[in-house]
Amino acid sequence: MSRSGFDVLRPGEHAIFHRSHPLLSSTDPSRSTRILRPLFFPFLSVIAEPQALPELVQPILLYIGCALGALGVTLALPRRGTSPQVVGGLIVGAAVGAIFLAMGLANVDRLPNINFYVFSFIAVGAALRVVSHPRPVYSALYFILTILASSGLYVILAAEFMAFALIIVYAGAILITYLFVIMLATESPTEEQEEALQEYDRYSREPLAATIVGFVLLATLTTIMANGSSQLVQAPGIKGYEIASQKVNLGSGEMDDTHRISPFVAATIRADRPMSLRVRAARGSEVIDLDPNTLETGMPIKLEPGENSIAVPFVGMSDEQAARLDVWFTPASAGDLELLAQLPGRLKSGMSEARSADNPKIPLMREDEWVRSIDLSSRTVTLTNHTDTIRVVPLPADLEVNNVEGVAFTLLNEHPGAIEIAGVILLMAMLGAVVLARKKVEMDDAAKFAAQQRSLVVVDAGPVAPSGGITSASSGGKS
Amino acid sequence: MNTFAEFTHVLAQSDYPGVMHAGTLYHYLVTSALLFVIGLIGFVTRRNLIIMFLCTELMFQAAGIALIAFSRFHLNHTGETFVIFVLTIAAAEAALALALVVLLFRRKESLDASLWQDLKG
Repeated sequence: MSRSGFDVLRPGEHAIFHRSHPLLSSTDPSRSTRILRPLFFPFLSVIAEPQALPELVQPILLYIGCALGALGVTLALPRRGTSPQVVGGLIVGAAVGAIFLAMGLANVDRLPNINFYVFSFIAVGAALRVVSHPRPVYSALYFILTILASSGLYVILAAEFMAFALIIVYAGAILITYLFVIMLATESPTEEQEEALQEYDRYSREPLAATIVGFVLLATLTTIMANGSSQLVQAPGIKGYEIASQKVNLGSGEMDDTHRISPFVAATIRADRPMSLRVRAARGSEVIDLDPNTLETGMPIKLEPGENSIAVPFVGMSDEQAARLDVWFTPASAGDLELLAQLPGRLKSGMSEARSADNPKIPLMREDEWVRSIDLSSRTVTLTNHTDTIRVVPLPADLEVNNVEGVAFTLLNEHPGAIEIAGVILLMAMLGAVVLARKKVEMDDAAKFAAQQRSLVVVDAGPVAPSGGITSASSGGKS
Repeated sequence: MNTFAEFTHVLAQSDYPGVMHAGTLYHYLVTSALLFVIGLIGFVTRRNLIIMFLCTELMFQAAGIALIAFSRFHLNHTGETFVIFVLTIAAAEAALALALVVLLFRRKESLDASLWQDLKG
């Protein structure tokens, strides 16, 4: 008997007590070394597994791109004498092109969306301008451009909510604060002198050394990332949502003399990737604790791909007791699978209020039915009732879970503590900013002297008497 | 509403609940690494205090792109929620760091980071 995702053992069928059970699973030492080795010896692992890098990127082109990028960024940074910033920018553009070409050649059949290249080029170019523009205001404006381009990348990655939040919070709030402070913390130009660039904006500090170190870091990072990403297990894609947890029949295993021990409950579940399952048991409406030595309620069970049977032992429970249990398996970390499994209220009420598309007087769902699963690709809902009759109806358009809803549920459901901490951090930052802003600061002696010198020079050039010049200089130094 | 949905659909990876390959993920990771490295170089080389903090924001941004890319790869919203916290920290950092910058500016009348070299131990 095979029903969307779950196969159920009938009584009498024997389940395999599988090694993926938490009681039997042992820690595999080879696995931990396999994970740790690339972390600690990146170059060793590159030499040992030379095919990992070319899988994702052409190594020679990548390293040529890194070297070119280092050269370009060095030229683009502001420096003494004439700094060929335009040439540097062009070289960086060529370098980024080489790196993207290196990745594209290795993945010809799975190139990203064409908009990715547009947004990436804009983001990297604007970022280069942020670090190389001598005027801070322009740097901040170019940073806004970087933000806009990366929010474009977010949209390509199907994260619409974060894309808009990024624009509102970063470009709208944080960058405006930056612009305010840039305005506050620069000397306003007087009428005589035009606005001059500060010495510290015109020359950068050690551009060559910093760039070389930075791009060596980039080459190492991309090399290690290629190793890591080629080992990642791909998510299979969300095909549908399993709404109701699957009830599982109790297997009738071996019974001992006392009739006290019901060996296990078993079910076979298809797994096409590693997933963990939660096992919950309930008697009526009351959720009961299973024996902690064997299985706690809600304890996840690991299921590896290809392993399709699972067994849950109940120790210290008679068959009759066990037979009154409703046991079900819920995917514990299968992304949206779990997410929707926790949203039955909305779907239940939404489905019960939904009307048939043909006749608005007829409800979509009959009285004795409940939602079993949602198929995303065909946009259908599978309904079932107590006699296991299955009916498939189209999914009402307003019941789809969108990105905002998904993010909100993940946030509230999985990270409530982090929200509290973020709130505390923001409060502390606000208090800290207020305290810092109210603090009275005396100007340094050296700075005071320099300011006096400056205003004296201005005054000497004018027709005002020297004594008046000193008083105006001291008042100007205090302000 | 409908046109907007169509727009995002065209712009977004059209097969959203579908599979994202490791090769495609790698593109986003490299972009994020590039942004991070540029931000790092800027932080080290520039001498203006405000630009230095702007470069840290650039590095936050790079981390955000990597988080969102992994979130898409694993079809899991946890990465996206993490970016919310990155934004929070960035906002708190901007408030505190800029208040500090204003204090430092009032003391030296200059934003040059090398004027504070006597702080080094």
